[in-house]
Amino acid sequence: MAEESAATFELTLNGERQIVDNAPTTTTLLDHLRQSGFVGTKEGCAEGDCGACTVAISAEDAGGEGQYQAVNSCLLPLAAAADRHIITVEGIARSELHPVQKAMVDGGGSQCGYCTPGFIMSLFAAYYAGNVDDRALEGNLCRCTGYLPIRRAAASLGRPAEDDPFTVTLDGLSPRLPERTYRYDGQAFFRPADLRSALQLLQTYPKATLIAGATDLGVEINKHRRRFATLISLEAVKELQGVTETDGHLRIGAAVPLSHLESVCQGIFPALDEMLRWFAARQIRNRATLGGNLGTASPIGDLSPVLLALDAEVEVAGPAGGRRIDIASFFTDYRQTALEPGEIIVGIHIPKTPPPGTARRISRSYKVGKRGTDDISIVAAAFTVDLDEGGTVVQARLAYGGVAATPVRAEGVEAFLTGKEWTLETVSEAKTQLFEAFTPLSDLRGSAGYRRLLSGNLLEKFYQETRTEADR
Amino acid sequence: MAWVCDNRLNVKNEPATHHEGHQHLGKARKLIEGREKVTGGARYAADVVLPGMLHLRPVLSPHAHAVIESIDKSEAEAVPGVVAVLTAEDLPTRDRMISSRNSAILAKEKVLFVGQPVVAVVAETEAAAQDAADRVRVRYRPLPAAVLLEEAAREDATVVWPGGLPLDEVDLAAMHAAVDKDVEEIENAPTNIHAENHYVRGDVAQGFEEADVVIERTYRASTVYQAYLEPLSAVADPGPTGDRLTIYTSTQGQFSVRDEVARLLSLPRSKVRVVPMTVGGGFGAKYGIVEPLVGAVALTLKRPVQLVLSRSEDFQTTTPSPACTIELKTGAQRDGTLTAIQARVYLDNGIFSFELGGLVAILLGSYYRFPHLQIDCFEVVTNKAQSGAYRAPGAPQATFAIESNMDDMARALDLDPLEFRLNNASETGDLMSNGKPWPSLGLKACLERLRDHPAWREQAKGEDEGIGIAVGGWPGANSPASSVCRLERDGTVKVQVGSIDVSGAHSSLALVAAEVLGVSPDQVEFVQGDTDTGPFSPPSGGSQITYSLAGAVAKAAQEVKDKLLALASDHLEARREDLELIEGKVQVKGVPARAVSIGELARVGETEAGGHGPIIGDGRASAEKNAPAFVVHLVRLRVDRDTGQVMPKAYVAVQDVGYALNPLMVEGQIHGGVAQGIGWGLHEAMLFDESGQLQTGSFMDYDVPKADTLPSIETVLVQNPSPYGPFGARGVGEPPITAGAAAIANAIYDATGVRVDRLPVRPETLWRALQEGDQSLR
Repeated sequence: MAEESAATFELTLNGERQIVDNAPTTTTLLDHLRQSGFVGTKEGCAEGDCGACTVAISAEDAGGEGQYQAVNSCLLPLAAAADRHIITVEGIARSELHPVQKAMVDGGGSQCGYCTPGFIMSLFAAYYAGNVDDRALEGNLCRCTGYLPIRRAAASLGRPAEDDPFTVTLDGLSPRLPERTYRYDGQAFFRPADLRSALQLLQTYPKATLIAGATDLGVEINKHRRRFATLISLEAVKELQGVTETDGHLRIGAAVPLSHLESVCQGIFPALDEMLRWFAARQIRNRATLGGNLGTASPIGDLSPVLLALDAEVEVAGPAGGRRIDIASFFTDYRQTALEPGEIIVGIHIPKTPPPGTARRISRSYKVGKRGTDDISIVAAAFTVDLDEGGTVVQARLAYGGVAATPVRAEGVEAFLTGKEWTLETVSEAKTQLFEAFTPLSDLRGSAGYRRLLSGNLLEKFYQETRTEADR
Repeated sequence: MAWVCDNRLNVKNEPATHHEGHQHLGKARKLIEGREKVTGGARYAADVVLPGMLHLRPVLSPHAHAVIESIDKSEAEAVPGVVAVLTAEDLPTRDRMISSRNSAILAKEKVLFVGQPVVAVVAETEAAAQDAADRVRVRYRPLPAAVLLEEAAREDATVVWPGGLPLDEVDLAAMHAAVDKDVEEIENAPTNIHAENHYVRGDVAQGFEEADVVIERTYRASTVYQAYLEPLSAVADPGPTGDRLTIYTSTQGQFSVRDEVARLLSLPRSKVRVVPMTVGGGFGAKYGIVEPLVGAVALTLKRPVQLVLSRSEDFQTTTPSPACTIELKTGAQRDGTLTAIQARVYLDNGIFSFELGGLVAILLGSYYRFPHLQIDCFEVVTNKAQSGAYRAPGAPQATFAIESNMDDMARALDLDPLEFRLNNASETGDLMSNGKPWPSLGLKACLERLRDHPAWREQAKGEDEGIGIAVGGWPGANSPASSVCRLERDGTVKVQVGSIDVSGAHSSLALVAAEVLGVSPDQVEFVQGDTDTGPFSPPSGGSQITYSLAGAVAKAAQEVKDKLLALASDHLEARREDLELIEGKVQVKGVPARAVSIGELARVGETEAGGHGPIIGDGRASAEKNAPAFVVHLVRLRVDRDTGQVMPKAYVAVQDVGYALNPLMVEGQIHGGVAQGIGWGLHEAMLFDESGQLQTGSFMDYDVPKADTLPSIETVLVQNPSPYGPFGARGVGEPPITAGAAAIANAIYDATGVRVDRLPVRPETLWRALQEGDQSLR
């Protein structure tokens, strides 16, 4: 790694190059912006929940081209912004307001104005990415307008002109991030570009914290005021990128942002599509990765049940070489995984072919929370049921988050279903068994009883919803 | 998957009818400071940087009730960059009684609620201050606490104030609505009920005897957080002499904050100057919670000091809307005539007095004509943060109770719920709970409008869907207000005010000046003065700012107009009666060639020796009465019977706005209020455990409605002019939050036959009721 240049790094802020040489690695981009005088970007929660701090950063889109992505600057460690273009609300108006700004003023989309810069930058990124829709607003809270004027402002936006200065800038960018090392006051930030370097760094710094999107890290920094001596960012490691198809499997690179999965994987796994629909908000999905979601092993990580229901395998690499771990044995205890010291999650493999004898596969996922998106689930569930010609269950996978210390499958009920006819009678019996399958905890989101009953009711819901319509 | 809202954008709103003869008023016009807000140029208190400014980080109490045994500052003081670690003893306010949230500057001897500030750590940077704050060691000895409302109200509860509640001279509730409180303070209260008020009319026993149907139920509402996006923040600058303070802050009422700071810091009012920054939402909470602390620390250290609360601090240390229990009984005759209402209201004041009972009683007993009425309100103190105002304080809770009850009554009588309400709705002159007559109100007009609306008329419902309606109202408020209007040589009209524009009030008031002066609204600029330079104004709360100030702006503009015409009369050598003010010019009627621009007249006024003098006018207004404002809301929603989730599908908000000065701003208020009302109904609750710890202290756990959880909102403006309001206008900010929770509860009943009686309706509670077929949610 380039140790000689480790004292500084560069970023481009609203078109101006900036050299950073005096900030801790755990300074957030938001703090840096505000300390640099760009106070238009606001802090509303410092946890990625409100979106007031949203800025646009240059990044790769799913096809490897440059794009602007909306991110929560409160969660982004400044060093992760190295070599990127950062655009804030102050940087988008020329002699006239930017079309997004104009639409917000004209439509009454701004009242008190505190959330406005965040909405503007969410819409700005969407405007250039061509995905201005309601999902562009999921990560932004507004308390004054009831959102309707903002949604109308969004709907009134056209497409950028060919010679739009921001389109021109994007075309001139090389989106691939170079490797980067930055040290400050005993802290180190490494962004290796290949797996070998990443594994070596982890050997050298066994206590280092691995990050990719760093969305969890940002919360740790802000809310729990944790400081990290060594960060190894995996987001530029080339082996962790891309979505590829191999021998009946789909391989998803561990560092692929979830927002890429939404577009690249669309239509392949309905259960995955559905869960991504409800996973956090766009700013988070632009940064969060499947590898990160598995690595933190949260019992309520929404994607884990989906991967369990699809019999995914986790591809890991370590000093002793690579191996694959069946997702069903990956989660070992509360926030514990089967990863050995020195190992890194490289990718996730999901088989596309159902077991032999399957005539029809039905697969869906469910999330029950306080609201739709951007919420911690009370219960998340994913079901895959493979049926033969006669409607008998060949194989069933019933997977849950929020009902145990780890994401789990209801293996006993799966065994019960196997070989049975997929009828309401069978499902009702399975539902009764599911009520007793887990011993969840009660917390402020939901009682143990509610969670137990949801685990059964969701299966019946799954049956009812897939019975009457063709599988998607 | 659940959670699919039908939130189409192509909602057709009924346009507000335009007043004949008005050129600018009544026409939608965008926010005047929109440009600053969309470019990041608007400056909030957290954006203020002063030379030599220090940063304050508070240490908050982790206990609901505890003795402070010791405070060890040594480790904190050793952190590089730390300037001071201050406790109550170190501040000039050390001898001041702690009797309200604003006066709880730093705790003395004991802490009384989780989130009470105990220590102020001040450093050269915010990061250093926080590092040091983490190193302050406070040793507490926990004491028994009374936390939950209904437990605290019991006679055997731990008594929060054994020696009685310390009394403060400032009446916080009065900032929000002009309501007589008739409250009896109970001295040396042996229980946690520190005040009561009672309203009686007729004889309820007789009323219930006359009734054929009686509906009796207890309704409960949770503590709710205002959830403005900008946390409380302020900067205090003691200046070079150190005997006066300038405070840059996020507030809804600069004069209120000035008075509070002066009182609490024992400074003359004239030595305190409050400079209001752009406010990132307030909804009732921003009236001087942090300014006394920041001011006291700045005076102590003789340097400017900034405090910006983190979100989790803001959740814990500010003043949320009180939890509330309402035991409500009503009676009616078979023909649908109401006979009596009886209610016992328990309000969770938190640790200090808030006293919302009067408002709750008025809202509970005054929407409808009840010949017999008895409402008893009990104010309960608990070891929690003091309760405070949140948009239409008391109204969502009271409306939830009365409107759920009325819905049950209509169904029990087998009457159409809208017609039943229409037949009993209060009209102008009918008596409120407090025995006073309602000023002009448009409740019936709203109901009639909804009756004819397709959403109600057609009752189109899908599977598991229900339609619910509820009325809601706000008595209105107004205060004396003033403004100054002056004319610049370039023709710009500058209107100087001391009001706070949280979300567009000045964009409506600009139209008033433009209308009077016959100039384009683009020529009108609002200049927000501070407490030294701004003409006196009431705070922006209680839906009173536009109502109170529009008359003052109109009069100031009228004075400018009079002076312009007088000057032009000399200048054009024409009689005043022959002149007209049109499109920025004064001209002889019908003779456009004989005209002079108002800018030129301003120049003449400013330069002509012995002449008319500069063109400036002032205006004062003090409306004789309030203008009550009513709404009727309709919601159509779907209930997911497997999970208990509720999804609003369509929403119609009918509101009597009197006269919509600027319909875009009025609709903006309605949309925002409706979203918050849906929050009351389905999402929002501050939940505390038994030890008083807040369990929902972040935007992840405290559920504020998001864009994809709200339905489309159709606004229907009823313009039933107020005889007292400027141009017939009524206040518009509070009413739209009042009816949502009740309408949702009624729609859930319509969909499921299950009556929910506590807010918010969380999926689990509804689901349980559905499973058990339980008629009452517990």
